[in-house]
Amino acid sequence: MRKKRLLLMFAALSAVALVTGACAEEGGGGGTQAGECESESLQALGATAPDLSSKDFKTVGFSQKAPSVLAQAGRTVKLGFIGDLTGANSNLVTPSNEAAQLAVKQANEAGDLDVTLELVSLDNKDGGPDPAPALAQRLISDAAVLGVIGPAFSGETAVASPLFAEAGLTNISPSATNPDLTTNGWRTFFRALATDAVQGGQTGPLIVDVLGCERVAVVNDRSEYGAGLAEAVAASVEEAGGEVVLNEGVEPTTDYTSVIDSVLASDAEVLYYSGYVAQAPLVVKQYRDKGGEGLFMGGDGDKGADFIAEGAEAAEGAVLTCPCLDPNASDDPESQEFAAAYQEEYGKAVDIYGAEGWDVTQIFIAAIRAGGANPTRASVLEYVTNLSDYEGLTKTFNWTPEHEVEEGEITYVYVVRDGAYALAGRVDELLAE
Amino acid sequence: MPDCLTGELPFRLVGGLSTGGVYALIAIGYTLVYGVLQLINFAHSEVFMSGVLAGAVVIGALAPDGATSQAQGAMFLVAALIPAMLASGTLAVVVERVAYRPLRRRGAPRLAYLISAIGMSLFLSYAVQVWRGVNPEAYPTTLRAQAVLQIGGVRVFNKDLIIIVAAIAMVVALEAFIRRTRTGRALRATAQDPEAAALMGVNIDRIITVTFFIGGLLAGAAGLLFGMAFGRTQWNIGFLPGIKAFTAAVLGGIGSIRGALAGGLFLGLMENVSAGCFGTQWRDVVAFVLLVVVLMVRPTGIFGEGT
Repeated sequence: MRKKRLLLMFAALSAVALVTGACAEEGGGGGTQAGECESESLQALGATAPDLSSKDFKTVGFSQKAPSVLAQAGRTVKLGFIGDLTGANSNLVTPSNEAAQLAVKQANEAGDLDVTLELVSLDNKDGGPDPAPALAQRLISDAAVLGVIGPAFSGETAVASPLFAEAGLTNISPSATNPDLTTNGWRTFFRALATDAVQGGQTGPLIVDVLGCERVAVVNDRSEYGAGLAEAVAASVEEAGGEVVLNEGVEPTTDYTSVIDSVLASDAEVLYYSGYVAQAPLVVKQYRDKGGEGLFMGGDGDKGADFIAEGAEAAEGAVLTCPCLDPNASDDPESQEFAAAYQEEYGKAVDIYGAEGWDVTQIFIAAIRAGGANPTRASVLEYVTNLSDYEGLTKTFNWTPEHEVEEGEITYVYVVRDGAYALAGRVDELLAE
Repeated sequence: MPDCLTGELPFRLVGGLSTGGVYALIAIGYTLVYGVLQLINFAHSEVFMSGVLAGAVVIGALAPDGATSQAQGAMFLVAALIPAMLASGTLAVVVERVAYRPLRRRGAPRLAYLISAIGMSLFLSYAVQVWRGVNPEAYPTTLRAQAVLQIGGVRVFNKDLIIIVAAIAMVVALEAFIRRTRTGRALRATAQDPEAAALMGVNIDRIITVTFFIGGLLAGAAGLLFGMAFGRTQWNIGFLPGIKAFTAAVLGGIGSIRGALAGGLFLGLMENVSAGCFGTQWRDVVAFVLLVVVLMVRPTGIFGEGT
């Protein structure tokens, strides 16, 4: 009998380890897939990869002065970076970290700063919000750290930013998009791109008016980011006259059979996965494996290099939105210059949030430059807070009172074509066409 | 009647059986070892993981870019089947030698096995993490989705069908092995009464090795099928299927091979059908409530204890 009781206990323990509960909405209906709405209706704007052969690498950088690193006598000041540098979602984070490294390197080489810059990159290791407070504390306790790029994702940003606010240390996230982050009154927190509310709000019109689809299944990963974006997408689809036939949350797993069966049963024309790139390729592959023929869509969290690398042919034709600018697909000379410099430094094309990471780092460098030989956390915060008409690669920076980018409600649309992201345009422009 | 029990039911049955088939193949490893040693081999989820990985390595070596045709894909799967099974089978035997046999020699208490099993499980998964890295790796593409059967308006896709057929075929073959062969008889004898079996000339150590090996073989096959169906391998990929399969083994009646098959398929079905009725969030809740209910009515599981 003891043996059996032990077994029951194991079973109960397993249950506790697995159980995830929440309210659910029902996906009804039956029958087969419709596939009338397609990403074919989106015309790619131009080549996806920049023509690097025509670039003159020597002119890259913001200053043409000869390097004089060794001559600098000033003290060392540091910028922090927090994000998943390793782990399943690291391909969403390393580009901004590498862009920051590049910016710091160029600034030191240019030699027009009175101090020497150093980037301290801390790895959140795919840990979600849990490791972030300790990492934030490490940056706070290092008096030489004057600003923080990141944290990269919304979950980490939500727990780290109050600590920074208390310490008076400025942090600007190049990629955390949960709308609620700026509603907490953290005076030191800024965000360099549009929120999920903007992205989600523009997704409904994109699906209904531009792509001509109606029945949308929304699946989210129940993360801070995924659940928030899913809510915004579902609301905007309904508002645009479409129908949300399924709206469910599934925590990251390997086996998506159940939810995909629900999507298929709901007869959806669009499967929108609101989550991260670690899961998105699995969802799209398993959806296609079960005969799903609808349009696959997702937000910025899905738009990493791995979505295409792992999703392979299943990812073809997928439509992903992002508040981020892909500098490879931009015709702005400064963006192209940055893309070329990045390519030369790291031997690969700059990926998602790279340009945003670059902009944030440049803002900090400008703030430190303004502080002369003795920049402080207070002087950096003051400079960043009063930033006015700063011309970045991705946008012109002015802050709203909530510390969002003013007039930054931009959502770019990317289509996966021939194993690459092709820029199809901005949602507002596509709607105007 | 809610939709999940009418229109979409047949369609959900296929997905459920396919997931359940993988659970069943892993569950057999738990059930065999329990039948012979009354021990839960918690490192079995890593034995399964090694099968997923071995398949990926073999197919990746044969075709780094994946298969170009269905025939080639099928060939890769067949070619990877034996290495995946052998890798898992060998690992299971090594686990037994390293983690359990020394304890058995010294007559260690039950609890020591449990700790040793957990330690082995952690060691193996983190060793793979060090070797392959933290990030998930895509499983090389083998078969492309293709509807192969049409049963009453429900399209059955090739991968689902392969898993269901393979799971049932392997369990039938295993049953035959246990019922018909000398080694099988020795295995049953050891499960019933190890001392008496030893007195009758059965080499207990050898039988235990065989038990672990067979459990590993099936877990390896499950690993290959899992990789084929879900398209990914990672250091911790064994954890969830491992727990589910253990549950399936208990549900079916731990120690019973048919029970493992029934428990696996039943659990897979219940998960998938309940996901339709209550939403995907509830699938594990429903599955485990069901487990508790079954165990309350039949504390020894559907098929009871015994080989």
